Formats: sequence, C-alpha cells, structure tokens
Amino acid sequence: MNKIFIFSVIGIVTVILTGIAIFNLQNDYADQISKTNDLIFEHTIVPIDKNNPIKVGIIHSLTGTMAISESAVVDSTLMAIDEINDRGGILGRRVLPIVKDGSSDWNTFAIEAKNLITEEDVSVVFGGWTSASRKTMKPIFEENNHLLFYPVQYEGLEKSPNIIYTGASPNQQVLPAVKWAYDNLGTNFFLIGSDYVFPRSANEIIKEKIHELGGTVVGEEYKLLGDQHFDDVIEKISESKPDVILNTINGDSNLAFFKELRQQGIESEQIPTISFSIAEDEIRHFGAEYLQGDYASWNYFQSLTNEKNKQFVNNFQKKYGMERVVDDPMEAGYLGVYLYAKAVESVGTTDIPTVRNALRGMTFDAPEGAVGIDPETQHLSKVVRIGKILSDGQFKIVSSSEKPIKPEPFPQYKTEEQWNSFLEELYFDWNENWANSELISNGEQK
Amino acid sequence: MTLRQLSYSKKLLFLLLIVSLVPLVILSTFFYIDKIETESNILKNKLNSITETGSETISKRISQQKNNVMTITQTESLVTATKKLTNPNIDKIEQFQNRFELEDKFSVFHNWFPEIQSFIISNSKTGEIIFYSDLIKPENLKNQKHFQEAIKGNVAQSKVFLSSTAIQNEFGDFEINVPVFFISAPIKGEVGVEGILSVEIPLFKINSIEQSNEFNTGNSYLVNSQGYFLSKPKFLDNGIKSELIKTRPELKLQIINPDSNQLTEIFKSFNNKNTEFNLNGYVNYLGNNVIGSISPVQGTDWSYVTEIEKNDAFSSITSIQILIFSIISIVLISLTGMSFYFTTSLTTPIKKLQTATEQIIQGNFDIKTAINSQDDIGKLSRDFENMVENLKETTDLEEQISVQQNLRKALDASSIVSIIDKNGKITYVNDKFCKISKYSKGELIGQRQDILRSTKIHPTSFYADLWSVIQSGKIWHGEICNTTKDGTLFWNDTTIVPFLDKDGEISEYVSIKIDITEQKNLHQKLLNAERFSAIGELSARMSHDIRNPLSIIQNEFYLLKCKNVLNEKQSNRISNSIDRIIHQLDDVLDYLRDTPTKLSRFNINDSITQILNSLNIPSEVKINRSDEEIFMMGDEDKMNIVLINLIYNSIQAVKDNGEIDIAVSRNNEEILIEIKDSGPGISITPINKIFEPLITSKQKGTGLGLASVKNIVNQHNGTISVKNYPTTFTIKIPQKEDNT
Repeated sequence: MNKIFIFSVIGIVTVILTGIAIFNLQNDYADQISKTNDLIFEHTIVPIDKNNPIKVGIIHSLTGTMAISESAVVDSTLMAIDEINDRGGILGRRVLPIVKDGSSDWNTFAIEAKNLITEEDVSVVFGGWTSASRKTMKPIFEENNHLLFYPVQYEGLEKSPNIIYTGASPNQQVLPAVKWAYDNLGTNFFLIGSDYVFPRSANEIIKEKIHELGGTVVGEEYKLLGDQHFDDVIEKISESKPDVILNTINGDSNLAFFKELRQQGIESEQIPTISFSIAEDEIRHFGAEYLQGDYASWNYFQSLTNEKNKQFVNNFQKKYGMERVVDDPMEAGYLGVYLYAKAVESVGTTDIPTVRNALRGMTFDAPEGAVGIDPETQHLSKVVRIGKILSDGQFKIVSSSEKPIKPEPFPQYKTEEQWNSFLEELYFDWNENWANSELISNGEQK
Repeated sequence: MTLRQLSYSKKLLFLLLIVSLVPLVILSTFFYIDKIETESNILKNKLNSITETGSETISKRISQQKNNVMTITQTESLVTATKKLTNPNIDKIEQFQNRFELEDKFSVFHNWFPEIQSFIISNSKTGEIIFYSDLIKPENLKNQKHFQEAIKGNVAQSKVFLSSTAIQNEFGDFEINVPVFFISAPIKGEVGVEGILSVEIPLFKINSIEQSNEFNTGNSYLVNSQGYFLSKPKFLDNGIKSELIKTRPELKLQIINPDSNQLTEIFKSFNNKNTEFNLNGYVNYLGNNVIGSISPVQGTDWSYVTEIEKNDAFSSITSIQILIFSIISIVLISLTGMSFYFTTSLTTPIKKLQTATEQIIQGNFDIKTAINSQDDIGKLSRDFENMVENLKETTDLEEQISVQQNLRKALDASSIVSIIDKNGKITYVNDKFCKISKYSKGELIGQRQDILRSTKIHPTSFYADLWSVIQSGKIWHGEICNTTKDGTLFWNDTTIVPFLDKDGEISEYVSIKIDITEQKNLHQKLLNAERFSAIGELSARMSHDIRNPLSIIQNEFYLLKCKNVLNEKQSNRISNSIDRIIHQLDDVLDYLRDTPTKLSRFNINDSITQILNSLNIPSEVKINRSDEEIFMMGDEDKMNIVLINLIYNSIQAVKDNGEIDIAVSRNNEEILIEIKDSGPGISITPINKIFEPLITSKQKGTGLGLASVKNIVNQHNGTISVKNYPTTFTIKIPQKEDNT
C-alpha cells in the first residue's frame, strides 16, 4: 500500500509541477512581448537650402546699461529664426542671423545698422530698444529704403515706412494703464522717468490723459539713464503722497529706485507703482522682493495661458534654461521674425519694397494673441494687459482690453505736427541728441 | 495477452477503471466543450467590445472635429469677415481689418480646438484663398473632393495624406510627410455659402489608440481603405528589424501578410459595414498567427482592427486543458491506487487458497491458508483446511512417493527401461537405454520401437507374437536381439508390462531389459572352443593315421612312375591329388601345431624362390617378382608356411590363366610383403572374415590355411590385411633396424 501512496504523491506532484512550468513559460512569453513597445522612427529630414541663406541683421545692446534687457530680446529673436529654420527656412532658404552689438550707445546703433545694410547686405534688421537708438537708426533705414523691426513699446509720435513697430504705441500701453490706475488706484499721480526721449514723450501724453480724466499730477521727476541715486526723488514722493507712481525709468536704474523706495518705507500697498519698462526679465535680474505688489502694463505676459504662449515659453526655457523668463519685448522680437517670414513667403521674394508692401496688413497668431500690422501706421494691433507682480516674478493679469486695440502712434491730444515739434524741442535741448547728453558720460562712468 | 489470460485481480482492476474512467472522461469532455464555447464567446465579446469601442472612439473624434468646424463656421464675425474678404473691390485697410478679425478669432479657436493645425478660408466660387493661418500659403483646395462637398453645404473630411510642408509631429519636432487630413465646411451667410473653411488636422491628434491591457499581445490599429496603417501599431519591432519600414508606418505600411504577400485575411473579407471576426486564426502583418476583429469607423473609410495572438487569446483554454488533464491524472492515479487496494484485498485470500492448492499438489499437506475473514471466502478457506486434514490422515502420500521414487531409482540403475504408448511409440527411455542403444533421448522419444528391431535375428512373426501377448494385457518375457544406432546387435532379457488405466484399458507398455550380449558371446566362444578341441584331437589322429598310408601310397606311386606303368596324364593326376592331401594335412597340422618361433636371419626372396620351385605352377600362370636380397628376422619355416599358403591360394585363384605379383620390400621399420593376383576376388563379406578358421571360399579347402597364416604373422607381431580387385594380401612385419 505504501508504494501506491508514493506513486500517487509522485503523480500529483508531477502534474502540479508541469502546470507551474507551463504557467511560468506563458508569463515569460508575455513579459517578453510587453517589452517591445515605444518605437522611435526616423524623421523625414526637412529639406533646407543652406547655400543661399536669407541674411537677417540683429542689433541690440549686448554690453552697457541696456544689455540686461536687450540681450534677452536677441535670444528670443534667434529662437524664432531657429524655429523657422527647423521647419525649412523661408522660401526653403536658411535664415542666417548676423548679430551686432549696439553697446547701449545710440551712435553705435546707427553705425552697426549701416554696416548690416551695406556690408552684410541683410534683407531685414531686427533691433533697437531705447527710442534713442531707434531714432538714430531711423534715418539710416530710410536712406537705404530698408526694413527694421523694432520690438519695444515706445512713446509713439513716429511713423516711418521703413520700420515695423512690433511693440506697443502709447494708446496700447501707457494710456490704458493711466485710465486703469485712475479707475482702480487713485487720482494723484507721480511721474518718474529716465531723462531721454521716451519718458519725456510718454509723460507728455500721460499728463494729457490725466488731465482729460480729471486727475492730478503731484510730481514729475527725471533721472539720467543709469543713475543710481533716487533719495531726492523718494523724498519728493513721500512729501507729495501720490496714489500711484507712473514709472518710465529704463535700464538698471530701476533697481536703485525701488531699493530706495522700499528703504524709505514706501511699500506697494501704500503707493503702488505702475512701471512701463519693467517686465519679467528685469524682475529676474532685480529680484521680485522689491517689486512684489506693484504693477506693469504690457501687451504680453509670460503667464498667459493660451497654447501658442505655452509652446513659446516651453521652447524658450528648453533652449536657454529653465531659470529664464520671457517678456513683452522678447515676444515682440520673436513675433517680428514670424511676421517677416510670413510676408516673404506670401510674396515669394526678399525684395524689400515688395516685402514691406506685403507686411502692411500682415496678421499672425502670436503668443500674446492675434496681431496684425496696421497698413497705415505699420504698428501692430494688439491687446493691452495690466499685471500685478507676484512673489515669483510673474504677473497676475488684473486687467485686459480683451479685443486688440488699433495702434495710434500720434495721440489725438495734439496734431502730428505739434508732436513733431515737441520732439524737435527735446532733440535740440539735448544738443541734437535723443537723450540727455549727461547720460552718456554718467553711463560710461559705471 | 487476451482477457482470459489475465488474473482475476487484474480483471477486477480493469473493470473498476473502465467503470470509473468512462464517466470521468465523458464529464471532462462535456466540461471542456462547454468551457471552450464559453471562452470563445467571451473572447468574441471582448474583441467586439475592444474593436467597436475603439472604432466608436475614433468616429466620435472625427465627428467632434466636424462639429468644431461647424461651430467655427457659424461664428457671426467670421461669416461677416469672409463675406467682406470675398469682395474683390475691398481696399487694403478693410482687407487688413477683416483678416485681422479672422486671425483674432482663429487665435481663440486655436485654443479651443488645439487639434486643428491650421485654418484656411477660400472663396467658394473661385477657390482663391482669402485667409490662412499658417506661415506658408497653402495650395488651392478647389479641386479637392472635401472642398466640393463643402460647396454643396456639407461638412466633409478629406483622405489622409502626408504633408508636403514641415509641420510639428507628435514629438513636437518639425517634419515633412506628417499624416494630415482636412475638414472642410461651408461658411453660410444670409445669401448662401460665402466661403469655405478648411482646417488641417494632423492625424496624430485623433488617432491615439487605447490598447487593451487584457491581452499581452493585443494590438489595435487603424487602417484606411487601402489597408495602410493610420496609427502606429503596438508591435512593429519585427517590421523595423526586417527594414520593412524605417520611418512612420502611417500611410507607408500596409497590413500585408508576409507569407502570402497579400492584405491580411480579415481585411480582405471586410465589407466596411459591420464588425467582423476571425476566431479561426490568420497571419497578420507581423507574420504571427492571430485572431482578430475589424470594425468600420463611421463617417470615414477607415477601419479599426484589433488582433491578439492566437496562443495568447486561447491561453485560458490552454489552462482549462491543463486543469482537466490534471484532474484526470489525479483521479486516475487515485483510482488506480484504490482499485488496486480493493482488488488486492478481494483476491489475496483466493491467491492464498491457490498457493495452498499448489502445495498440496506437490504433496505438502502441512499448509495453513491463514484466512480469518468471516465472509464466504473465509468459510471456504476453513472448509479447505479441514479437507486437507482429512486427506492427510487417509493418505500417506509422502511415503508412497518416496517408495515409488526409490523403486524407480533402483529400476533405472539396474535395467534398461523404456515406456511405449499403446500405439508403439516411445514416450520414455532412461539413461541406460540411451547408452546401450547409442541413440539420444530426443532421437528415441516419439519414434516407434521398431527402429531397434533386428529382423536378421528375429523373424517378423516373433514380433507379432510379442504384440499379441502384450496387447491382451499379459506380461511378455523373453530374449530379444536389438540393433544399436551403428548397426551392432545387442541382446536383452526383456520384460514388457502393459499398464492399464482406470478404465482397464491399456494405456502404455513398460519395457524392462537387461543386457545379456556379453553372456551370449561367451556362450558362443565356449561352444567354438569345445568344437575346436574336438576337431583338433580328431584331426591330429586322422593326420597321423592318414600320413602313414599316404607315405606308402606316395612311395608306391613313385615306383609305378619310374616303371612307366602309368601314362603322364594319370601320373600327374595322382601326383596332384597326393600333393593336395599332403597340403591339406599340413594345413591342419600347421594350424594345430603350436610350436615356439625360432628366430633366424634369412633372405625372403630365397625362400620365395624355393617355394616357387617346389610348387607345381601351371605354365599359363605368370609370376612377377624380384630377386633382391631382403633379409628378415623371423622363423624361416613358419614364414615359409605363410608364403606357401598365400602363393598357393593365388595360383588356385587365377586358375590356369593369369598373373601373380609378389613384391617384397623393407624400410627401416618393417618388411612389407605384397601378393597380388588377377583372380576374380574373394566373395566372403566382410572380407576380413577370411582369416577366421573354417572359413573358405574354396570348395576344396580346410578353412584353416589363412587362419594359420594370421597366427604366424601375429606371432611375428605383424599384421595381415586383404582387399579385393585385385586380390591383394599385404603383410607387414616390424623389424629392428640393427637387424639389417
């Protein structure tokens, strides 16, 4: 009987082991199969003609007081060019950027612009930040009947057929901000700006607007570009007790201004500041702690949530680093390249008059939303937004025009002639310069 | 091995196994078939669910896109802007304003409907593109089918094609040849179609497929009406390895069976209307044997295919097979064990009884069955034991057998025993029988006893009498002469006992013989010796008595001869007769006279010469011989007797005409004498018998001459032999070398 028992046990064990073996084999097979996933295919290479590139000039200050703002615009402009090359260039030709340093010196801008046009034989130039630099370059482009894309908001009062203004005109930034401040922050304004053509002109327009609204300008101060001493200005602010400060200071003087302001105990809760030349990239350099709670008015903020912007921010940070931010002038520089590309594609040539003609009325879905080049003024129709600075250096959008606003480079408070003579006065006051001439010596001293 | 040969326990075992296995197998089969049917249905439903859900999902995505496009075309500002832009007389500013309005709208729509890659608005009449959102101006769509459909007022989808310009692919990189398709819809104003909106949608935005996790090898994919992939299949590694495809499979790879080089079976059988299945298995594009289903994607000419490797799909059925196999195995093993135990317990007592019976057959009555059960077999066993006890008491078989065995041993040792069946065939012989008959047991058993008969000795009637005695059941006794295998005879004192069976019929005969050949021979020799001594005495007296009167006759004849009373013929006849009488007398005396041999050295040829001279040799008889001197050591007188006898015989044999060769030679060891004649030969068989006394082939002879010759040769340690044709006597007498 023992034998039978043993045989039964052996039989049962054999059957069980066979079962387990088959089960394991099946599992192994399954494992093996499930590993063969995620296939990477070869991409079809986008064909591009590298022998006959479309040369484009880029001119910005890579050194000097404006370098912190302008070099970032170079980055975004180059990124747009890279993106266009990635998708096959323009007309199948590679876009070749030639970057020139304006050195925060307006005459250098003019010289380099001329170089780009005559020496490098570029088809278009992207560049300029300060109105001073634009003003010095403008005659060069007009003389050569060339084409400049200017990416920064400015005071307006200009309409060159050779310049595409991709930044805001006064009615697309400054004036809506004043109106919003008057409605939301208070009626007493203090104006502070750098002593050159943009702040002077902008404030001229602002004052008209405040007047029109029925508000009061309690103070107006100008400091040289690059000036680091704002104690006297802060004192005046403390005395005049405005409801809101409208800041048109440019460059790194801003940091000195805000440091001094906070040192004097003026927090944004008490007297908020609306800045017109501080964007995400400046905040990144200055540090958000000095600016938190204040406001800025722009057409574009990095925090916009549309798909195009997400992709733009994503691509930029992927290309230049996750710590980097994008802002309005950078976006304006970026979209300028696309507008140019679209125009050239539509006419099939880089011939400048033809392209300029095509550019008038050209539209594009940019990260900030749809933009279109107004055929009359060559400024862009765009949306105006006001953002509040958050602790992470980003903006919370507190107000938006929703619909794009048609550009008005010459505000209706004065006629075009009146504005031109206003500018002429400034020009001659500064010894035929577009900025207070002390600026240069001061700037160079640092 | 037939069933009849099986033991009772094995029969029982088989019966139990068959009785239990048949229902088990039937049950398992039912269970298996039922399970397979259920599993197949489940599989079919799963496939159905995966494929139809998948195709519905894709279909919904397409119709969602169409709805989106419809939504866009119904936007009022879009209709207005389109209407204005189709007006050829519009100025540049107004054109810009309307285009910008569209750009602004599409910027919003782009966020709402991120699947849409680009927007195109065309003049419905001229096909001229009045707005496009992409960087590069697209080609005129007027001739496209979807465009024409849109003019008719429908929302239409184009076929999938590969983009000629670079667009972003699923990985975010720019690539040309990205699969895309258009959806076109009419932009309807108050007066009809104002323009056509065409949107470009990359295929990857809507073709993502949720692969079922249920099967490891499950794979769903989209194909178009030509069988080209519209989605990435789950498994393409083989395709890539075999360099079937390097880039994207969409629109580049067809679902082709690599074995037959044709589109896969399921696709060919598909009518693009209903979901179809193939559960029998077919070879898919990877060359694997799969089952699958195919379902149309509503609103398109696309199909949604789901395939599962057949082995994988039916793995649960394999499990069931294993389960059933295991159950049957376990049940079979346990059944075998139980049946074995049961039948063994049943048949062990029977086996014990059987063993006991065998023991009793062998005479062992001291046996216990050791069965204590109270059932029928237990009772049988006890009765059996009682029976054995009784038997043991009444029959002391053991002693009887012992006596019998001893008797048999004694008989075998003393006698020649054979047993013959009633038909006369030998059924038993003992060793003695074999030894004397020189036959082996195998040669004898089954043979008739007749092979031993010697008909020369016994007449046929002798045997008939014998058989009539024993067939009547009586014992026969007598002397029989039998023949051995080699033909020699042997005498037996034989007793034949007929054995009767229980019915009183003769079953067999036992023959017991005692060899008496020796006795018989001795008896004969004795008789001969007596005869010879009588003859010897008589002969000696007669010879003596005859010699004296014969010498007188000889002398008187000599005198008569000298006186020429007789003619030559008469004298010769008398002379020959006298010679013959003397010779015959010498023969008798030579044979009877037993004188010692006197050795001397002599020349045989001299002796022969003398003998030939002394004999009356007829002139017609030719004697051939040599005169060479050959000396031998021996009794010259006796050797002369030998030579005279042989030569005389030869002369008589050749009668009056013939030749006689006498050859004498010697070598180192012996003298060889050869006497050859041309006579008719010796008629006695066996021929050697001629050397025996009283045997003669001649009418006038004593029969003692050659016997004397043999005696004398033997006295010289020699040998004599004879052969016929020609009649040759050969004598060999050994000689020592130094005698030469």
